[in-house]
Amino acid sequence: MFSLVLKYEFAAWRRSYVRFLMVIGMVLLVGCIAVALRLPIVSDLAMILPVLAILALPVSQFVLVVVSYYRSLYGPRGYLAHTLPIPAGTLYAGKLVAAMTELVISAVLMLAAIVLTSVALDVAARNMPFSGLRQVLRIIASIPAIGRWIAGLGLMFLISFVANIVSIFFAISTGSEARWQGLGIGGPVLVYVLLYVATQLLTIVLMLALPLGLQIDMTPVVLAEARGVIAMPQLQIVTGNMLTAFWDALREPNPLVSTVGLGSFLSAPLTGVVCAWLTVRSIRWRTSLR
Amino acid sequence: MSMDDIIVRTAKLTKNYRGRPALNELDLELRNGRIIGLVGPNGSGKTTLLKILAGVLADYSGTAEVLGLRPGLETKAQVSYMPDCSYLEDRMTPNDALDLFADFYTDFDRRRAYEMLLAFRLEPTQRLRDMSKGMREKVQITLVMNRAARLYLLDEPISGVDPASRQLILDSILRSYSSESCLVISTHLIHDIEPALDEVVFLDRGRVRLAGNAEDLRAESGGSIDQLFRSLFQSEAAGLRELGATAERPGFISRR
Amino acid sequence: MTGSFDADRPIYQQLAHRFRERIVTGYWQPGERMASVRELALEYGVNPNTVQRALAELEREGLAIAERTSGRFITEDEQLLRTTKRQLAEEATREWAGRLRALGLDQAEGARLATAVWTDGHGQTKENNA
Repeated sequence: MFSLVLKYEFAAWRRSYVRFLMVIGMVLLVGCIAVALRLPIVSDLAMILPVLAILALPVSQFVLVVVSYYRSLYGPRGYLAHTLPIPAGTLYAGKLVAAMTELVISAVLMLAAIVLTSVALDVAARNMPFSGLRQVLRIIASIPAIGRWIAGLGLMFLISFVANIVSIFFAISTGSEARWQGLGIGGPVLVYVLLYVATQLLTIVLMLALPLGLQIDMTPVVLAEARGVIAMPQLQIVTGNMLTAFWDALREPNPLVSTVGLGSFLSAPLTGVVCAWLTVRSIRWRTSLR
Repeated sequence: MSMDDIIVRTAKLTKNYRGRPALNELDLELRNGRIIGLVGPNGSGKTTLLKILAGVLADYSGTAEVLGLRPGLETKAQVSYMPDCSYLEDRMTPNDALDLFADFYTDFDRRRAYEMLLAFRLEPTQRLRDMSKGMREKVQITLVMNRAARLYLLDEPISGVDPASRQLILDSILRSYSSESCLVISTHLIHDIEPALDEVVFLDRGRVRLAGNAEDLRAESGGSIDQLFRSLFQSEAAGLRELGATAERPGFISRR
Repeated sequence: MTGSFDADRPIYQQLAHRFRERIVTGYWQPGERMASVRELALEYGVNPNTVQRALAELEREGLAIAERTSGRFITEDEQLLRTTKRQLAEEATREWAGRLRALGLDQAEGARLATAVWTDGHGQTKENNA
């Protein structure tokens, strides 16, 4: 059943998005060619096209994910989605996995667009293709312990990103329940705002309540800057009362060393799990189509 | 005749839309082996009732049961529901829609559905967004009527289509009839479907105004159901007191 | 749909009447196996239970005989077919006579008219509704 749901999610995605992707591809291509040709004035102006295409890829995909979740479940098409004998959890999981996959695809396409644009710039500067890109990669590779940083930041980004999509889905599903129905599209928006405020409060509470912190020491960054290279800050996990640490930092700010309560990192996965559960429950028992 | 099963049961079913009742303590029992006309003026609660039974409207009070269960996942596999809106994606073709139903419903007869599409003179590979409203309705009725469900809920299935297609729809309704299932058709075009009905439920402001076997109602009122409907709802003040006795009967009892 | 139905009489009675006409005119032959309820319902565009009710009427009259397993058959009782035909004819005549009487015609005028119309060949209307 899950794979069947995925199949139809991707079929709908293909039907609604591929044509738009082709338009973006054309814009990118025309822009890159114009840049590479080094025509007076035109080439400078044309640079806007690849930039637009690179930005449009993730943004349009994100909008599509949000809009199609709403329309397929709470617009007229919801009458189909909610009468098919699909368990609510399966339907939800299918939509979530499809959305994440589509967003990953758009991220990959965005990277490809960046590479293409950099090649166009290389050609325009009469350099070897990929030379600009190689230079950027060389700088990144020179940063000490960069692998771990990329992995850590990537994981954090991924978690907060999934949590974000989950909370948007939650806001749409909950905001479409009968009690918010009078507000129309305002229902989901209001629920999202309320959820956002609640999440922020939870983040602060968790940050201060958990006796674990992440000490961020900026000294290596400053030292490296003086030598004209790049380095990442030094991290260390510390224990202690985060509330007092917070007060100390307020009273005697240290420009180089700061401590962040580790609890704050729990907020996103926690709200994500709760929201996902509530969303499935909403789809299962509280759908009220207009 | 097979065993009498209660397919639909509601008790004190109530649904309010911002304070205005769409269903008002509705008591109803619908049994298998019957084609039932659900009639009533606009706003009498027909669509709301079908939505609740189909499981797309959860915010109600009172009891609603389909095959003894609260409408949900288990009942959806047994219910074939056609809403009064276009619920298929614009970019789909009838063929895509047939595939979808074949994938999700084990009781869907794809071959028979395809034949019905052709009988409706629909192009299986034309996109729905290039079709008229009536054509899209035909696609939906094709999907819904080619399942072997226990309960069919058709919300205004004939109002948007031409007379020739109405006949095809009626045929498909009669063809899908089985002694195991119950078919509910909401409509205000009673005249066209009257001979196909076993029983009629008149809804008025969220309550059953009058219900019974179609032949009996005709015999009692001395006219067609269509005429009965008009007299019930158009001349409220007219001397219809004698029908009041029937209307008082709780719920919906077949007198066969 | 095979014809529409009058609003003032139960459909099953009208249906039974049409079935009788088919039987006595031989459209359905004696001993012939009848179509299924579903087929008849589709042909006449009526509810299957209404067909069932009309058939029950025929069975009670002996015009149709239900066999437990093999279906429903038209009677081969020639005597019954004859009396039924006679009944239908009488019924139609009574109706006709009543209308003429309402128009103020007497029996002799009615009989003359009947003979004239019959020989014109206009008499054979609605013999069966097939």
